[in-house]
Amino acid sequence: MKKKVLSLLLTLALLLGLSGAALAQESVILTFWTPTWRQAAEEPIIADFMAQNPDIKIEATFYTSEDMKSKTKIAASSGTLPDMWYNWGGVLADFYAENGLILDLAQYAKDNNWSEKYLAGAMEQCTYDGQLIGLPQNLAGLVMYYRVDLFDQFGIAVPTTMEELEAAADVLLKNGITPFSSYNKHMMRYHEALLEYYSTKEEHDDLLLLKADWGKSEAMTKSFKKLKEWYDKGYFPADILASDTSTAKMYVYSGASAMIMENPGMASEIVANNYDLAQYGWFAFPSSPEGKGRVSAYAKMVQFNKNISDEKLAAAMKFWDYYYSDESLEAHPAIEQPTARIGAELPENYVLAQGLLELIDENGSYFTMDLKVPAEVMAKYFSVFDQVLLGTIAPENAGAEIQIDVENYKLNN
Amino acid sequence: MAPGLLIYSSMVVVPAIYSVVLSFFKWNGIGKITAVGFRNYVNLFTRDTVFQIALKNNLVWIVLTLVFTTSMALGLALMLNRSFKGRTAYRAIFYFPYMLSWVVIGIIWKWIYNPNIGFLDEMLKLIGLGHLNITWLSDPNIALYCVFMAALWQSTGQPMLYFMAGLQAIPHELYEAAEVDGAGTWSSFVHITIPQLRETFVIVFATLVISAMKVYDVVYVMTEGGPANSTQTLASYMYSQTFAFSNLGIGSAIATVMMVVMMVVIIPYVLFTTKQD
Repeated sequence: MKKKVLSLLLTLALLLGLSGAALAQESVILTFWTPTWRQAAEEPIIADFMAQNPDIKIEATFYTSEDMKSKTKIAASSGTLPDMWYNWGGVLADFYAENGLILDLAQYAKDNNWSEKYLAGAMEQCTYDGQLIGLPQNLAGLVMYYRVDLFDQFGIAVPTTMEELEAAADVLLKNGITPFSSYNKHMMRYHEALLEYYSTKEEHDDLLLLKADWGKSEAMTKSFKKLKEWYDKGYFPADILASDTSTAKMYVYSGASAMIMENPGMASEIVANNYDLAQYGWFAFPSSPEGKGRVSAYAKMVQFNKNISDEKLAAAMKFWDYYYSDESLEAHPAIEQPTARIGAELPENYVLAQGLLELIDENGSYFTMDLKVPAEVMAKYFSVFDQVLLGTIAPENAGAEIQIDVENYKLNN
Repeated sequence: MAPGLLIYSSMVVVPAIYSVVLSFFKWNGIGKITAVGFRNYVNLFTRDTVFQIALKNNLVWIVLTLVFTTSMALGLALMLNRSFKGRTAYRAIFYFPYMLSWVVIGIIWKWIYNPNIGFLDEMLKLIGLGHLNITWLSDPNIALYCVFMAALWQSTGQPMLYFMAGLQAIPHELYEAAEVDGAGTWSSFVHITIPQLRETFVIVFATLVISAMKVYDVVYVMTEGGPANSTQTLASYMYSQTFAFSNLGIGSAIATVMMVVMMVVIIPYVLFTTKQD
């Protein structure tokens, strides 16, 4: 009798085991590559999602930003891209579309009414050559964060035009405060805003898309001239050409500088570091002669492997719906903001970025230069940029110098 | 032997040959691959000014390394080879920077060079030279040497250890005999220490030249190759060409040039010292 019971139990256990294994085999496994700076936020989201959806398994691999860029390219060349991966957008994302490696989400978006779900600006930034090359995650714009206390101390009103901005900078400079903080690569932000100021929207867009001649652009010359003038006057910190983003921000936090052109990450950083919120505010860079103009913006996205199955895609979309659901946003405050979803409210730690998305919506946006212009051309741009500031290249010749590399790039691609 | 050879071939020889082969092609890593003969090399040496700056910087770095790092390491090793109180602590202190990562070294030195609140400028102010307003890393004429100073601080510890090991292997009788023959300290150093350290020099020179050719992290952290490419090195430019610009052919050509430069410097030196043996 005992033997019979034992064999029955063993058979039952075997059957349960087999059915469990069968169930496990049926679960969808999604591979996902994402940067390490998102790990703290994404690990708990993934764990919570998998707990709620035991039939979906997400295998996330976290890489540093540089590794993320190089490893996805290596994987692309060896045909081992994951099911989905994070991308900063612009040319970094276009590369995978140009080479036919991503799933075009245009039809999926149409079928699932993404236009009612995602901000139009974000969708536009994720579009390349008519394809929707990724699921929009974040929409970020660059604005001027400033020290309210310093402005108050020297009786400066928030500038709304270029003339007012320069007048404010002069007052600050006279009082021993460096008006603008930045570092060499981010000086581009001031330059592209000046380029937007001096050019028409069409010309600026054509320059970014390499359709217009950088050497023949008057706006290019004027913007370089203005930047050189600002640099020579001492509007920027002395170590600008060899500084870094944290040092540049530190100058603002310490009050050595009064303004910095930054993305919304600055708003959350101020909160995270327990700085006095009352001391900080933001305003739009006067990028048009009328005052407010288009904003430099970029959208971060998730791209999907062109070989992803329908079943995996459905599981992936379920995950992203959960990722940005009210439940998840409340449970995981570390999720990067502002999200690209329509109607999404900014959390408390982004209180300083309130109104930013509305600004982009109202005034439109242009692509942040280093995300749209090919890296090869940007490398030359940064070198020429340094040389203009150092006085070894005249602002009048800067555009022509860059155009040489634009032509080379076009010739080779 | 065979399994070892197989592993070595598949992990080192084949990729190295593949890299050389790739340097004769134009390829973005995914799309069509096109044979271009020597065009990548011709362009690098005749048209690519960034490559030329990077190559020059690497050669300067090799010279600086061989002169200053070797001298510093040997000097410290000779000093710490003597018997005195606290010798072990000093050895640890001088070796310590070598244990730090390049990123940490870069950050530390970047702050030292900060023209607003950095140690160096504060020192200059203290001694009444504050008016000089040296911007260190922002000045393309001195930026490379400033980065090298940081590298020197970090990289002296390792060759110092090699020299100390070499010094301890020299038989003491040689110095005693020299002393009996009336040789002074300098004469003993030139005629006993240096020749006896020949093998150590081979190791030190080879490792220093290789690391000088591969220098990347400290430059990236401190200057990102700027200002105006003045601190660009072959390794950083190779990385940019390969991963940022997706020019695998040009990236491979730079890697091949790096390999050739290393061989040109190291092989004659090793052959020369072997002949002397």
